[in-house]
Amino acid sequence: MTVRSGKLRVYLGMSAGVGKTYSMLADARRDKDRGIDIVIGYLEMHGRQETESLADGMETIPRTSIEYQGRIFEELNVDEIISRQPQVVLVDELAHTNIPGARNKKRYQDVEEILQAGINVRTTLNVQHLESLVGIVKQVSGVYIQETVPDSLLTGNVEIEVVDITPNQLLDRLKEGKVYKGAKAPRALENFFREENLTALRELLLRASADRVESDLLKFRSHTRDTSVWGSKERILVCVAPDAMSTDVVREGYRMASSIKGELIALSVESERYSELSPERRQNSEEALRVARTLGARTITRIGHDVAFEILEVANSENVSQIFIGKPPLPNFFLRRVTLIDKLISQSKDIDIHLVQLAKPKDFELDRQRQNKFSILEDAHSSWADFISSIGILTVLTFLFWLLRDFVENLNFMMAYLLAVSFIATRYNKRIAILSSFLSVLAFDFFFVPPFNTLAVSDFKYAFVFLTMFAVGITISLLTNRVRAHTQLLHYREERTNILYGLSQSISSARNLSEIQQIVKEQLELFLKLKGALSFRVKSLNSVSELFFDETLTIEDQAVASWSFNNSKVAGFGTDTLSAASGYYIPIKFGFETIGVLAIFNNLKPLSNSQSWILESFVDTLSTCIDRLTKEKELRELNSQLDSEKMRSTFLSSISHDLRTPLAAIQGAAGLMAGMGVESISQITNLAETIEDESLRLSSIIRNVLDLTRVKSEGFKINASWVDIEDIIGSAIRRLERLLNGKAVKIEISEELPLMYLDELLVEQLIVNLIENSLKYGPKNSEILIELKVSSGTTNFLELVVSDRIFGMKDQNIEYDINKADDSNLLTQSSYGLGFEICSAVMNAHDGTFQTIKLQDGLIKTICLFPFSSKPPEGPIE
Amino acid sequence: MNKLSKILIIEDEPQIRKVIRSNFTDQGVKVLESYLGEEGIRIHASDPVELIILDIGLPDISGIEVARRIREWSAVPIIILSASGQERDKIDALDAGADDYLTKPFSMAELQARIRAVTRRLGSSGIEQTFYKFGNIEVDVQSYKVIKAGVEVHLTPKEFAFLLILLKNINKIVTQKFIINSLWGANHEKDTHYLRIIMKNLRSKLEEDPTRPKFLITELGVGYRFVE
Repeated sequence: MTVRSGKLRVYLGMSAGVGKTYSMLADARRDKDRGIDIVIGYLEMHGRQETESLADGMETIPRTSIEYQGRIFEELNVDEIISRQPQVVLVDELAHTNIPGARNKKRYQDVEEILQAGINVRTTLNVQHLESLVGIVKQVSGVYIQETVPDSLLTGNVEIEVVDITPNQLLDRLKEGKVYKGAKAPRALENFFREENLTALRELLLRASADRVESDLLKFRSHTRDTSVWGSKERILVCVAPDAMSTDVVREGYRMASSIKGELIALSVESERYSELSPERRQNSEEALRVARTLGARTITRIGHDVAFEILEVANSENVSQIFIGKPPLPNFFLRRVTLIDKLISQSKDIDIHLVQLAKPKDFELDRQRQNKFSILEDAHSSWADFISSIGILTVLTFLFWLLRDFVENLNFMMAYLLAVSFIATRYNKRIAILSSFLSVLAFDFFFVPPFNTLAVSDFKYAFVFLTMFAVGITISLLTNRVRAHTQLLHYREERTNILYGLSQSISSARNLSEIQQIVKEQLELFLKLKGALSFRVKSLNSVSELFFDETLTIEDQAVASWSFNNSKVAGFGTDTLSAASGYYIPIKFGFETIGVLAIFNNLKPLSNSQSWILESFVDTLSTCIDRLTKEKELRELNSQLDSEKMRSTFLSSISHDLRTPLAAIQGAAGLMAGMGVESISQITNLAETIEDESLRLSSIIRNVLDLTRVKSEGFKINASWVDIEDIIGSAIRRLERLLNGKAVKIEISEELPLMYLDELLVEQLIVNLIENSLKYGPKNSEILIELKVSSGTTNFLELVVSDRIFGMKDQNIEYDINKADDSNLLTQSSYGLGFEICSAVMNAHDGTFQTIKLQDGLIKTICLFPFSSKPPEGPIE
Repeated sequence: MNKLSKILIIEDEPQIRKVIRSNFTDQGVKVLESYLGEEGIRIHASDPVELIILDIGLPDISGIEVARRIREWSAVPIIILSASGQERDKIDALDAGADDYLTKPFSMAELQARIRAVTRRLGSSGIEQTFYKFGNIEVDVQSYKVIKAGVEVHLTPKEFAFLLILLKNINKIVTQKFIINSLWGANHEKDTHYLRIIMKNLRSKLEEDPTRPKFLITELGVGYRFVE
């Protein structure tokens, strides 16, 4: 059970009308007056006035409405309560079953969620709704209770308030109409509220609360005294068989386990007989195992031919002290069960065996009969063809022998018949094999033993022959059949193992998490014919775990997956939670963490036993695989973080150099100015100019840094529009007018340029940097040349070249080839600083490339290539 | 330039207020100050000034909001101060009615130049001007004629309309949005390439060196301006 931080208080009564809701409300009123924040989550008034007046003035959380089959039903609003965060919430009728379509099947599951959210819950419960008492309640009152609450809910941090009145008092109240209004009262009196019923229920209530007091006492003692006195925990094994009564065995075992504080283990053994059962009957053992799990038991499924052996094996390895098994109904003349129990008793040594008498509620009995009939029909149906073909074999054989009867001695035919029987036994089931051996004895007698064509026997020695023949036939058929069944079972297991192996193999080849998603989908389809979708955990930026859903999951599916993930429980179709969903959701756990959810879609059909078995193991493999990939991913991210950390520090050291130079100049100049008198006005002007120039440089650097951080920041998108690149160049030159200080900038455009889809501010900054660079590093006697041309090919490029040109040398005609350029000619980051960074960032943002080449005489040439493919949309400009 | 006598600075950074204040008081201009938008609006309402210098990032309401609310009842010239990277804010402020902007850091000389341009434009407005002359370019609005160095230049209707918008707002930045809305309508707001094409044509027809224009200036990311 998951940890719950809220405290549960249960008002436990023997039946309706004893005043549980009233007591709960009365307590709540008192506590509210003391300043405790109490709200009503769900209250059933049954039109009782005293109760209603108590609820007046209490805050009520609005219920949620659910439409089901055209009607609106109201249920507890769990989300609303959790978001309201009161100290205590009142929730009536814990055993209530929610309307299909609600999140949880049962109200107690709602309550569990509220408790987990740290809110205290007070609730009401009648004793007959306790899971472990269902059998007894049925026995004493004849009523089969369907709305049950697992006993484990009342263990742990739970207060029990017993609300008790005598049966007579209750009957009086009932007659006064205080419990049920109007016409309901007499009917209730007749059906359920009979004095003897109530007395029995009251006894149950008092006994349950006495048990509880005792166990509290025990717990208290075990806390205070030396614990070794109490010895090790006893283990109780309940054996589950594929019939409807098995749940009773589980409940009985649970009662024993809880009274001696032992551990409960439920075991189901699948023998070869198991595979011949109808799915409905197999469902029974699954249901029993499910009940066991809700009672907190560990469940084990074993495959084996010898049921008793498997039971004892488990019992010994688990160190079990008591075994609970259903007592077979006497008229069951098939000896198997009896021998099973005999075997258990004779081989169990010091383990106690409890045979549980199975109560037979009427509806169950009917159900059982129907099931039996159904399964026989099904068996007969399935072996019809087998039956005919085995008769056919025998007929053909008999005809053959009849032709040969004058040449061969008849005892040889007997041998041949036995051969045929063993052949039939290898292929068809036990029943047909036995029938065949019987028929072959008859045929042998009828056709080949004198007097012929009658079943009468003249020679007495034949009677012995027939007997032997029949016995040998049966033995052969039984043995052969067992071998066959065993082989089948082996085959079946091998197939499971193969599938599992295949699945595990395929996922271990996955290199990343999204690949796993894909593989899981394909392989589940391939091996199990199931549709699957894997969602796994990702840590988001604020380190909150979220699910990364498979793309095929709808919003509704995602909600179920999230629930399963958050609560680490299975959910969806065929489970107790969100059972209206179309998929079955299995949480994938690694250690104590849930790291993903596997959703299985099987067209709204329950999974077969072997499918669930395979899935269970598959999920284990998946969990290690996901964990491995997550770790790898985290490692990669860490590495890249280290890389960018390193880059950042290089960057910082490079800009801090750039920043320090103008700052030093400004500081020096200002210091000088402060110490000067009015007389040195020309010097002051000079220094002021220096300050202004340097501050311009500083602001240009800052602008670069800002642009750079913007471009490099995560999720940066360039703010592109259709621009005229000449416009940008013009703007850049205007910005640099002061710095250029009369230095010539020549612009050469070779042809009509198309509009480009660019971020104009970034490109302007790029051009500013390139020109500044030429100003800084280029020779004094040079001009700056900006060339623009289009180069077409497989991809079209706009080529922007910024270079220095020494006056007088008209054309330097230096061929450059980017691919062949000598590495030493390329300017690297270190010699270029921030400018280089911003240029490469801008070019990257535009998917372009950029290269700087040193020419002779210290001239620098930079080539930027902007790829472009599209043209601006045509439109009616004029 | 008309001599200013009283201006208002709405700016929350004391250093910047100090520099601007000392610069103007030296010229004998009275400087009112506020570091809050709301207060600034009240000051102008109770004691109207001739020019407002307005910072975009204010502690209470944004400068854009201030510009919008002042424009509801006053035509006072407003110059916006913004930091680089706030292109969007600049455009919004201009659309809200501001006359010009300066990007921090800026020099006093730049500020003075902007103020001169803005006040000059205001001084010349009033009656619809029908004839413009700049350098060797003459524009006759009524006869739709543009003459460059004595030769008539043929402009398409949209080119002429574009030029006219800039001329009417001479020295002032006109945002891309404003031009597109008035020439093609609001549903073409995304088609900024229309402007690029027309501007390119205008420059090649009117400017001496289209790559380094003298009159038709692009304010990157914001809009256009006709500089006298």
